Amino acid sequence: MSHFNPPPSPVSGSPTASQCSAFASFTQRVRVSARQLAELGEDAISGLIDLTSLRLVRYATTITRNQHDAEDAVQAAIVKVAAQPGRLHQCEDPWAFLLRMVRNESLVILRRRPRWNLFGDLCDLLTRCRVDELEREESYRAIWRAMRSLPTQQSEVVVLKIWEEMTFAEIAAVLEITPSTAASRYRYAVAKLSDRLSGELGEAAHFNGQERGRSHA
Amino acid sequence: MLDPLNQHHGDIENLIRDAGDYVRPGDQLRARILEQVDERRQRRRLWQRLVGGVVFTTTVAWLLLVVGQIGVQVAPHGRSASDLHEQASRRANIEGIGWEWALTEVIYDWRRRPGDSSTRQPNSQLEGTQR
Repeated sequence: MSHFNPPPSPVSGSPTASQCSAFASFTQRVRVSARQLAELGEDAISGLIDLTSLRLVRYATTITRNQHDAEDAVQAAIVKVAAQPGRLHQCEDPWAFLLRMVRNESLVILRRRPRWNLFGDLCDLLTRCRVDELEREESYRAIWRAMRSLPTQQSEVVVLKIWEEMTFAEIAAVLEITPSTAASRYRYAVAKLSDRLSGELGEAAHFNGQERGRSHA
Repeated sequence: MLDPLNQHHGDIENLIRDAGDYVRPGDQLRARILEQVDERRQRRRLWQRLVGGVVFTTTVAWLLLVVGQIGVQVAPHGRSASDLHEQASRRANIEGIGWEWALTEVIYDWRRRPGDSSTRQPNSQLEGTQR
């Protein structure tokens, strides 16, 4: 695997040190969970489910564009992991391996039952929004709608880059593409998203300004 | 100073990052996975028992066959009564003596032959009955 490192960009959107360490600790927790699974067998699977299901469902939803199918894909992948508990532990990067498994299952489901999804239709999503974030719910829905309007190849790179905080080299390993392809897909995706979310950006800036004003007061 | 395009992309990334936790897995997902894992475990155990039973039965049958074969090979192969009868008839014809006498001689000859393991058993049985 080539070790492509994208040039560091001094943008405010790049993950902070605390986010990076949070992601590192998450991958470490997945590794620990995989070891427990290898040692204790299927009985330790609930720990892995609790740890990863949210992220896996989120990733699979961007591929299948339907949360029910995404959950089926996650279920199939985790059941396979439980059937061979030692396999996950033997991997160099268990989290990347899990993501690849879920991706494969999602693609299988997508091939088996193609769905006609209308752009902007988010009725399959099970959502949660904290009370203090209710004002931003419309913005979240706009983001998910915009993500769904992207081609899958681009949206999954965005998910892995922003939500999973992976490097392009790690993304390339999961998607079995070159790091430069991952980087260019990401660039195209962000450009499209910024077009589609320009209105939301203004609102978010307004919201952040209000938040800042409240905190100063 | 930051490039405005990079700044804009940074804002977009922040916006998307915030929306990451908006979607959550269904309440039944965990239970469904655990149920399916348990189901598969039970099915695997059933198969293991089935295969174990078949292997055990095959092994026992094979062992019985082998032991039977060994038993047949180890068992003493002496002359049978029909052999003695046949010899006695032949002797009676050749020597022109009575069949009963020929049979007596054949049995004497058989007993007198040294090193024939099959001759010992009737003797020992005879000794046992004499005692």
